Amino acid sequence: MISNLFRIAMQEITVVYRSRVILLMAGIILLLVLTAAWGGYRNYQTAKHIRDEAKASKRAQWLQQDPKHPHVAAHFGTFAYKPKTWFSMFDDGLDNYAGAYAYLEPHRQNDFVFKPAEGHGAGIRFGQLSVALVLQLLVPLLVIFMGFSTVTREREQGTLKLLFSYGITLPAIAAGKVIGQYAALMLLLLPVLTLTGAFFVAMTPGAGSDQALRAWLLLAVYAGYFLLFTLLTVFVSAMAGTGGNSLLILLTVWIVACIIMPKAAANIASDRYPLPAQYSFREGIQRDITQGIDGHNTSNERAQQMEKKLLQQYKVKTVRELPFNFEGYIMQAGETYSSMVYDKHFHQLQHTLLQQDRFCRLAAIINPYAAVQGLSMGLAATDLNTHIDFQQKTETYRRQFVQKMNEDMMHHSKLGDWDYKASQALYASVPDFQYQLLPLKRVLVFYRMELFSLAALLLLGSGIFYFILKRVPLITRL
Amino acid sequence: MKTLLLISAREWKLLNRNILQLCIIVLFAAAALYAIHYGNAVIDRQQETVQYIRQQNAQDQQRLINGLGADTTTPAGLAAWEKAAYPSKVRFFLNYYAVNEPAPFARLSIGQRDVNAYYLQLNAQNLYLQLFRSEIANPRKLLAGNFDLSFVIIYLLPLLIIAFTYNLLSDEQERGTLPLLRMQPVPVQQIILCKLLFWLGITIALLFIISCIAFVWSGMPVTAAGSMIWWLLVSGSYAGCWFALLLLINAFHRSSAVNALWSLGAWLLFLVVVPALLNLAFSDERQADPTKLTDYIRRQQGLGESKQEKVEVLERFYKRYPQYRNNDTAAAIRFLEFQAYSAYVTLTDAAAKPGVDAYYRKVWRRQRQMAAFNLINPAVNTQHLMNTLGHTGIEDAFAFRASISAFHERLCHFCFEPLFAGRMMTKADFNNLPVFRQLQPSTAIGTLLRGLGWLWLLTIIAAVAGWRRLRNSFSTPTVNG
Repeated sequence: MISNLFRIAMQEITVVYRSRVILLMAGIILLLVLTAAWGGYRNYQTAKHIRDEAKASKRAQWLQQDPKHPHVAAHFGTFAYKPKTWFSMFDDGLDNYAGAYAYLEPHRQNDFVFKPAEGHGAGIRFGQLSVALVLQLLVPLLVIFMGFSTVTREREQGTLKLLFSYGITLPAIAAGKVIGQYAALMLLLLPVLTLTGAFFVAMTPGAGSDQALRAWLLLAVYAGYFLLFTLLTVFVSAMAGTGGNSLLILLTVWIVACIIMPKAAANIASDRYPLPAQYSFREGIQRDITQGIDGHNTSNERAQQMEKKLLQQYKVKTVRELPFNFEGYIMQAGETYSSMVYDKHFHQLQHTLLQQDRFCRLAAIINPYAAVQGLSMGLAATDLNTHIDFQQKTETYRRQFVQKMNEDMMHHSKLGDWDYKASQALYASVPDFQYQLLPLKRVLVFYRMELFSLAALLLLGSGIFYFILKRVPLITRL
Repeated sequence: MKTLLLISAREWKLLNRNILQLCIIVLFAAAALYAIHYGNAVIDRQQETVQYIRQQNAQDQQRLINGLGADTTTPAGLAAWEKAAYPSKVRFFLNYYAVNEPAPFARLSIGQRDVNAYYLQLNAQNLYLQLFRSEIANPRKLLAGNFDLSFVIIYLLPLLIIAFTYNLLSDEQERGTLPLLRMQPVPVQQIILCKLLFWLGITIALLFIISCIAFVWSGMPVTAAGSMIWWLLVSGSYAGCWFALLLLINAFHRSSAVNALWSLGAWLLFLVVVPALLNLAFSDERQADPTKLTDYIRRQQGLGESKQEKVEVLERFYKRYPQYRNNDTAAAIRFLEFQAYSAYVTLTDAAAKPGVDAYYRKVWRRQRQMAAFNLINPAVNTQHLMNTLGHTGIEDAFAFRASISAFHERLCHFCFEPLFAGRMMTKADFNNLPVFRQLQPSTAIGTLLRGLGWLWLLTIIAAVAGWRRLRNSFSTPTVNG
């Protein structure tokens, strides 16, 4: 039995490697992988260089600004630059469509601006080459072309009858063919992928302690994805009457799964969970803030209440007698209040974004392309989840540095004294912003559905194909 | 002609019997209908947003202007009056909206309208602190792209054409009917061409019907008739280009499977591989480095407190903008502080302008370089043409940005004129509020003609090469069959 499987598998490999068309296709695909790897590396290097430099220069500007009032210094502000992740060389994910820079200043949570896609014309929407794109879109096609006629050909040539006459069952033949096809594919891909990985590692320093683990996980995910397509291809080839039909069915599956469904899912999701317009979003925030404390104006109702409370608490008659600068206190109280408002609105927004994302990801239950796309972006830290996490961490940093400035104003300056100047030591006491990627464990938890669905599709797929192939009446097998 | 009718009648009969082909047509039509609905939904939402903003903004402006007549004996009234009467406050508190109105065809080709901002709040403060805003969007959705009618035509229509025509000749060969055809008085290549023309007719009819449904459903105004004709021409030419390619592929006289492979290969090449490679080649951030712009979106250090510094700033300002110099020094001195601040803001913008312009020049240069490659690619070329018709391309985003800059100048002048004359705002000033005018990119017809020219060139080359090959292979008796 095992030897039969082995023999069929070896036979498959020979047939695949004998076809010049397939070798040509494989050659093109492998060349594209290498081109994509080189381009990914170049983009990563440039972006890293540019952003590191910009980050360092902005940090220097912050540290070396003239002594000035802490609140004025806070208004001078600083910038957050989203680092290009190491794995973006492999899968650049949403990098073209997510803004990478934000201005950090008091009172305001700014948007991340300069999406790279803004500077491009119609062409950018056709997608950008990356190793991941080749693996997600083109390798399945290679699998299909390698295997669509693997059983139909035997049927047409009459060799299927011969195999049956040896007592080999159809599921066994199919299993042998799956093993052979898959081995043939992996023998082509693995050397190139190893080369790509080695190139990345050799050219740029590592991406952190879990780099190897992420790489293995990516490999496993893609290996599972290719196995699914191989299973499907051999199954369809066994069931379809002719090679032509088999090809037609498989190509339809590919177009629906890889081209139509992702777009349709994203579009339906945006219809179902509409995002607010920037105008309404900012309007809502503004409304909520003005109903509360205006950070620059101590005369409104809330400020009066606060003043009353403080006067009572410190048992003094006027705010001048308070042991700290009342304006600084009000400034920070305003900041705290606006942070609360921002939290409310941004959490709502991020919730809607994640709802849309979840809807797209639901397609992963039946569509392995969606599963692999999500997992690949997630492991490469170029996905929506990482983007939101980056926004949240930047916002935390913004609040901390503004608070530090306000507290300095509160404790070291007198009421109404806008001539007070903070020293450069204060600027230096604000740490530089360093973004830490989400830990791998959290990525895997976030994408657990994709992981389960890939595994389930593989298991269920094999099971269902086995049972169906077993039950196909002998007459149609010939 | 008689042959064409005869063959068409036979193909029509075959089509009616072929459930699979009918299914594909129905699916395609369903996808097109969804796409029309989707495009309408997206643009409707944008229009609702724009209308809401217009309405709110008009109210806000009116509320501010009404401050001129406020009762200044109350603190609130005084504050309202100051907001409307002092030019220095108006330049800060009077907000405007620049809106990039969707053109009728944006509904069929959303293009870059979801990536670029289509409205922007503006006042007479620093331009560059206000310019680089964008609409809220889900990056994953932007990556997936829009399921609009242009997508259906550019991505799915070629697949439909391939499904119809990949085996025009090979099918006859594989069924064994080719020798019968060769015995006919009509040459085989003519029969093949007639079959191709039949499918071209079906496709064009389908395109026409779908486009007409889209025009009606999207409520295209009669004034857009010119664009409708362009649209039909562009989508028809794109279909024609694929038929020419399929003729060429068929002319190689290979098996159906090989034809399918080559056709799909061509589809992959034009729609996936070539654009993906180009985008990779032109995505190096060094080509246009946006971090250079981050200096301009930051609030500046501010103007010095001493009178000396203020006078100096004003002198620099007057040198650049002599029209604001006021000889009546008594009036001019009234708002010295605010004048100096406005002068400072304006000079900051002026200092930033070369840097910002240089960045966009680089973006534009990259765009021109890519466009040269994209003209050869029928898919990207057609997308570009459809975006041109919808006014949703990068050219339109550039035009919008230019309009904003021009508008901002007028906003500044609106406040600067009274500010530097040393007078208060009047009702008469507010009767002449600046209104945003959108500049349209001027080269639309030229762009359309050039794009179409390239599409036709490719069509003609493929068609002639295909036809010659087909004719040659049947005029020599050595061909097996």
